[in-house]
Amino acid sequence: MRDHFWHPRHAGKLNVPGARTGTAGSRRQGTLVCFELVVQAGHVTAVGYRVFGSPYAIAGCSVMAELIVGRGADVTHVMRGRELASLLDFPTEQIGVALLIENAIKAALDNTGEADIVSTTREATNDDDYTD
Amino acid sequence: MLKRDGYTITYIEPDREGIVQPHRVADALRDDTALCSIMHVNNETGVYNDIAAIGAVTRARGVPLHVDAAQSIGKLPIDLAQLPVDLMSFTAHKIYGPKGAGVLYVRGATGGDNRKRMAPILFGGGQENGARPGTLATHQIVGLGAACELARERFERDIAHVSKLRDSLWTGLASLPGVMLNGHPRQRVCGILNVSFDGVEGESLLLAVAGLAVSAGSACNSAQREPSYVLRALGRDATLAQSSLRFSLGRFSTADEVAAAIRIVSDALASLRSISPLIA
Repeated sequence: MRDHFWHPRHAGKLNVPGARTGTAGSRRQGTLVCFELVVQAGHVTAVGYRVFGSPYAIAGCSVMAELIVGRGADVTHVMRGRELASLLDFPTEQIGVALLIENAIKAALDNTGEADIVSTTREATNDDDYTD
Repeated sequence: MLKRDGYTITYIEPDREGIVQPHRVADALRDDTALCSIMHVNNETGVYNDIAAIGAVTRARGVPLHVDAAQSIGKLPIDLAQLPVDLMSFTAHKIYGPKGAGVLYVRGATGGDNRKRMAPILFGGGQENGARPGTLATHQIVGLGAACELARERFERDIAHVSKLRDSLWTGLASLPGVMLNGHPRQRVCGILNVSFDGVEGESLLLAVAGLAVSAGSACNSAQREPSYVLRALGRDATLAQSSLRFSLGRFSTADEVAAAIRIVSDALASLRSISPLIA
């Protein structure tokens, strides 16, 4: 888990037009995952993701990204969230994070965009910023 | 514990800068208020309350005032001959003394038959005229006394040293994107800096700065890592409250350590923000 946190594979925006996207979670939930997949000849040839979340969220996305590269795009899922949680020894309170990662990947594979109701806008915060 | 014993507790909210205003204390006092207890300095933000003004309020209403001075001893001038404070507590280890020794000052507790007496909370041998049982750790008490003497001797020097480091640290951090200072920018002690970092998640930030001994803006004794109620009271939402770090500087902190801290935080922030979907 720590290795995937400190050295996340395939992290970042792909900047490839036409990439399939899938998003799950929200800032309010504490985890927001956005996957991008490039599919060519029915296979996933490139993957990228951006993640706001715990170290488990980052590591989980990294593991999922590694698994999905080269897979057929008609696969409905790469790994179930609970399998991911078990593989990386997620604590109980982080299993929901693994499910969000599964949902985001699935949404990207299905090219449906958003897996859940997502709010990517910043929540209202204190207006006073003491960045003087 | 007081609630369990049937007492009614009134909690006073700080303002959005983390300060408990004297007028809020005045509004909260009741005819049957038995005690007002307040932190001199908030341990999370470093912001301090005007205990002279609060003490004037409580004294006018005949309510005893207890001040938790754990974070202010050695950092703010305290003259109990002037301050309208009835009880004050502090601990040795906050002024580089030994852990396990502390003080409860009780005004009027010494001298004569009319001295104030505290009801004991531990019972046994009845030492110190029944105030508490047990044998005191005299080596720790001596250490506490020595720490107080040194704190008084080095007060101006310590304040100047730590203030300079704190200003340097804040200058470095404030130059980073999405950084917010928690608490009043000036009514604060020099050695505590509590900063929120927008766009990155708190646990990941804490792990990413693993080379630093800092604490996060959350209740560390909770498995759920609840966001700090102190930061929430300042108006930070739960997510931002969790994405906060508390930096603590002291007599033995160095400029090199501050420079390293800025570099570590900067690298961690850049790394996490580069993969954050909240950053455009």
